[in-house]
Amino acid sequence: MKQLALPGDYRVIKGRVGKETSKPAVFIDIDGTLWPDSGPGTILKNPTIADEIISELRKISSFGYLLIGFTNQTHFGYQDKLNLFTILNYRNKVHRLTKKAILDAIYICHHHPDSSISYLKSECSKRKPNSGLVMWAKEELNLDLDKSVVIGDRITDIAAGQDSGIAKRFLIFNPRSLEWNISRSATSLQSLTFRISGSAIEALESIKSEISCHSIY
Amino acid sequence: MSFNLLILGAGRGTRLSPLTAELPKPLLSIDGSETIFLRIVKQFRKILPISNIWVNISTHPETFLNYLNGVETEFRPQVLFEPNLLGTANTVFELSKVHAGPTLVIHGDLVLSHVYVETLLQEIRRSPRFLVFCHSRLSNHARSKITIDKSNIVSSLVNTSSFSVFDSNVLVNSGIYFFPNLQQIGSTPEIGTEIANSILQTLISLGKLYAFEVKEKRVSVDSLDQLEEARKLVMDERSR
Repeated sequence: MKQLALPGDYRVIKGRVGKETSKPAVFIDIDGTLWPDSGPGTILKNPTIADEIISELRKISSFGYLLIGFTNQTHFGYQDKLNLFTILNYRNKVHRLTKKAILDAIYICHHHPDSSISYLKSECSKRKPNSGLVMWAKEELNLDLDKSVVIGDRITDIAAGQDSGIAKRFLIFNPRSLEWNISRSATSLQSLTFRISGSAIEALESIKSEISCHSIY
Repeated sequence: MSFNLLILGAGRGTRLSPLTAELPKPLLSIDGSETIFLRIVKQFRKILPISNIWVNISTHPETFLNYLNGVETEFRPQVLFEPNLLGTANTVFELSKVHAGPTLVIHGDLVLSHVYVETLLQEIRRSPRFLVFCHSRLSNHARSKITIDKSNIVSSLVNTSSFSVFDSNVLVNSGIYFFPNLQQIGSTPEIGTEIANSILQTLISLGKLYAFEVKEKRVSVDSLDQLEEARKLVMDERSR
């Protein structure tokens, strides 16, 4: 089923991304994976990405993998009304993030079923653990999900990756989010398979060493 | 030939309560520091070319993941997380969706002597076929009873809870299986927690499941006494 962008979904794609041939991608969750999670709207607080993460991402990119951020960002949904300045500020930071973390694209779903803003209140198919964000990226960027990888710090990241057919899945161990993962997801999720990593850097190093052994380019 | 090793760690461990109130059974310590889980991994890694280690988890998942995160990378398994307990046969079916090769499946509460492990591997190498390992004991002390014909083909594997009559010295399931190829495991199994369901029963009906009796020392850690027995086994081996 084709993924339609709804009001409340957002994405930015770098101009240089070629779509002619099918490419593998590394989907990386943002808050808690690319940088430490400091609660809703972390991106607005100018978080820092570790140099080692950027270095590993560059190496993986050099093997022909697209680097794609994918994230649920629901903080707007908890405000009484939308502030245009905050939204523009937010989008500006997302654009900067693609340059800073050398991401080729970022896909974002702002929807939440309990949002106080009517147009963000939705059981959206793009909200993780659903696979909509991944499928949206696949359609737009012509991705080969069989060779792709997902990294996230929540079971919901893994579920979104598995449901969309991403072959390799890494759960970054994060005690702060783990309880949430299990209790929110346990009743509805199917069985999930994944590897566990102590950090994003460790996961990226594993990915790099594996794809350097089976380089597709 | 390289192998998958699947350690079954999802059980509730109710018979070892309260030790298992907050700790999955495979994470019980058997020699002061090493867990049952790590002993199994190290034993098989030592003498078998294992390409992938897997563990299924369901009970106390936070504790299990926390533990696995601290395990050395070379022994750290991939995780099959079951929000709802599937049971052995269904777990194997889930694994067959992501891995196809020869797979050794072992319950995560088993403490095996080194001789046991060597015997088991000799049999796998001698004749790689669908195997259930078994031993002889009172059926009312076992989860499931195995009936075989003269060729060691399993004709039935039944939970002892389904039986009202207990036999002495029958073959019972040791909780270790070998599948030469997971791709041959087809059909969607029903969801259930009993070993006799779906995949194993299908193999039995096709005459494809063989039994191999092992007489060497093994301990299934199902009680405090057996936990002590397992610790003794480990200590005895160490002192030799």
